[in-house]
Amino acid sequence: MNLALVTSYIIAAMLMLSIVMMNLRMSSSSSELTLTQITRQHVSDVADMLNDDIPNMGFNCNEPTSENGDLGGMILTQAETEKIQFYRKLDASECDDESIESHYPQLITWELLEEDPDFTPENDSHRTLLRIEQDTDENGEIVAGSERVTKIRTGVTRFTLRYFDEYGKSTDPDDNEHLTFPVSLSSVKQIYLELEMQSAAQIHTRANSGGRYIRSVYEKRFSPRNLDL
Amino acid sequence: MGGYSEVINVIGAMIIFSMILLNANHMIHRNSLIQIEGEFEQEIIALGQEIIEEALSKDFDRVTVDEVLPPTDIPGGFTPDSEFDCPNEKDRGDEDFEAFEDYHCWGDTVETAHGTFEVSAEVFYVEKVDHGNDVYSFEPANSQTTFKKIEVSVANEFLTGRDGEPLNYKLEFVRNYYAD
Repeated sequence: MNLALVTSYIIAAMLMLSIVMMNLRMSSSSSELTLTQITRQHVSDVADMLNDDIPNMGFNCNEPTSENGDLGGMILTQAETEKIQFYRKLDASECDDESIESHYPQLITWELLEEDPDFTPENDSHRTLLRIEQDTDENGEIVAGSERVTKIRTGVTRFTLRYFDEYGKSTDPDDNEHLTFPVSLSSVKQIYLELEMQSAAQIHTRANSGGRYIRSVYEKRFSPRNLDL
Repeated sequence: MGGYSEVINVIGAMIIFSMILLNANHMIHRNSLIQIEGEFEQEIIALGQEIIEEALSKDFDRVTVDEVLPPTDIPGGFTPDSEFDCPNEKDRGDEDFEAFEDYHCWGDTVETAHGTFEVSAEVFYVEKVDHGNDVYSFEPANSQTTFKKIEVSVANEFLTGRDGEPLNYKLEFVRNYYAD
């Protein structure tokens, strides 16, 4: 057997193997980057909605909802670990129009559903995040049929809320500095939110590995101005 | 020389391939860095906004705390910036942390799901400068005005510049007394 030929075959095989491995790693890295960008964009979209809703809770045409007796003098109406409900006026331009009856605030609900039978995700950890808007009337009652529901099914895996009656406390769940349930709604001053999303597809770094989901987390402690009035 | 030419060819091919491999590895490393930087920067913006929103929920000046009447002389009656305290040892939840300027030269280490961030803030008076053609800017003022600016700096050990030092991300907000 020709030794030079065998050696050249071995070197060729090593080179081929390296090229294949390099290709695999590059394609995996590119997929990971793309999935990260998609997941982060989803997080950013939901965070934009939350950044509009939560800091503006309690706003109404002439006075905060906390000073409106028909609404029970409330801003927050429900405060749970995975659900929050509050009043806010969504469209302030309506306040300038005397003829419009809807000078009353909307009731906004954010809730992470435990189960959603209409949703069969690729990633088993995905859950449905609901945002519900409801109109109220002059008595503070919900207007029948006014419910507008947004179902966010873009990969939410965690939507955790913690409530604080003082500024700047530790957000670490083990510190127990946050209010414990049932929360005293009138004493809430700050709301800490943790939103986690995962990609629908998995990234496989090796051909026989189980793969992993890309995750992106948004966390922020909100200080809605109307809660401190 | 004839027997060596193949060896030289192989060595040449290996060098070229090694360079391609190094380049690919560099690209993969860059991709990972971009991913991590993006995630951390998202957190930095949220932290900065958090401090600015919290400061905005406090009174404009300590002389207007507890809904007392505003000073007769505005803005001369506001607290001069030479009297802004440096509350490094204070907690944001402290009772005397009740006005916008109480965040002046405050600093803390904040633990988040992404790691540890160094956060600090500065508050000072600014004045509106008219550059013509409806272009305005806010420049530091020497005396009290009805505008106060908060500058929040956030840094993380993994977000560094070319010199290896942590980058200081700054978020700013100008607060107008009359717009409160």
